[in-house]
Amino acid sequence: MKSVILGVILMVAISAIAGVILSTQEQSSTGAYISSNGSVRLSE
Amino acid sequence: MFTMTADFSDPWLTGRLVRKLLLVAALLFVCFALIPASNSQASQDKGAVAGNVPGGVLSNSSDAEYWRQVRHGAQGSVVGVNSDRGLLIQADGTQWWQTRTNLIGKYLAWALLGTIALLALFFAIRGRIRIDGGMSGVTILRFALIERLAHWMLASSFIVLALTGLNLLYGRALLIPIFGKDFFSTMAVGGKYIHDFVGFAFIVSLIMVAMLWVVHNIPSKEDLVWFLRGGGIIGHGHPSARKFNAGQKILFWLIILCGISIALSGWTLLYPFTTSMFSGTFEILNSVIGTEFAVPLAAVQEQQLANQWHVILAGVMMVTVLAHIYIGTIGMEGAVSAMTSGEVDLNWAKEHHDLWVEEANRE
Repeated sequence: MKSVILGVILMVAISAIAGVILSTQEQSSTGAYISSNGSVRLSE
Repeated sequence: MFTMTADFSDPWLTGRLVRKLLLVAALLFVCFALIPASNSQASQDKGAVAGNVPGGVLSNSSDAEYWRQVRHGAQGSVVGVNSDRGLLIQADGTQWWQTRTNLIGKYLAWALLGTIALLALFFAIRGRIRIDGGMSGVTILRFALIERLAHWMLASSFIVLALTGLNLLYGRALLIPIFGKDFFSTMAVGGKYIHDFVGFAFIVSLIMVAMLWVVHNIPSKEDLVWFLRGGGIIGHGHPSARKFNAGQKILFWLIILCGISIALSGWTLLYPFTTSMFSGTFEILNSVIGTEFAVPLAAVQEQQLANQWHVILAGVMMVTVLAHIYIGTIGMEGAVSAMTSGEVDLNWAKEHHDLWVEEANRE
């Protein structure tokens, strides 16, 4: 069962790294313009 | 408190009030009389000719017909910006929504439930596939740690992706009545983010699995015999197989090819309006096999097709994986340890993968 747990941990770790990278991308791309109610977002 | 009163008993005051009222009434009369006259004059100036609406703004065709065409996706043209903006209403969106919900959603549910039912029926009839010679007590290493890691990473990421994906497809109908809208909203948004992030773990593990096992999954002549004997169901004994038998090879290529296509369509969904994979694919199909797909596709059509394709292939994978889970656990004695400890009983190995055992012993 050790390999099962290790596989799941590896999956979570890679997902977490992807999550951090995606969140950073999202913040940078929406930084140019966001309307007051958030419905309009323009990237640079 | 402020109040205003008038003394109507004073004849001078009353006469003055009446004169003022008459003057206001006269002015109002003149205004109402002049307005139609000025409009009529303007109409004549703009030139109503042969029944055309004056001003050249509208034609003889009705507004209803015009907007009906817009509603059903008639495309105009714009200057100086993205040409897609000439499409005011993308009518295929309705078709996409109906196909996704009524067609794909319905048949995928039937496919999943049908597969579970068929596997249960098969188990009831066939029972668990036992090791004919019984457990020998001697084991042989079937999968190394790196192989098992890649397998479980792929398996766990696929299960998370399948559950969060099914939540997006069926959650509104199935879970809102149970948990309510607020809870479902939080769960759906969270599930969507998890789906996005775990997709990358799926891609990494898919690449690992492909690199580790592609050599062992190249078709060979033993596969034909394996098929002819139904993988051992037809006739007596077990057909010969190397590390992977023909059934496992089909599973491998289905997972790899569907997985690649799911990953690409997922990329399109994650980064919308940045790819034109379907236009490219359709152009190739049109030129190679003579299909008549309409190309190029609008950017939003690319998104709609990517979504449908993503769900269809995910459904194919889910059905396949259900069968794989069955045969790897309760369906076959001695199989599951290959992916937990990595070791399998020697008798099991000789019965199901005799050629692989011979190769392993030679090494």
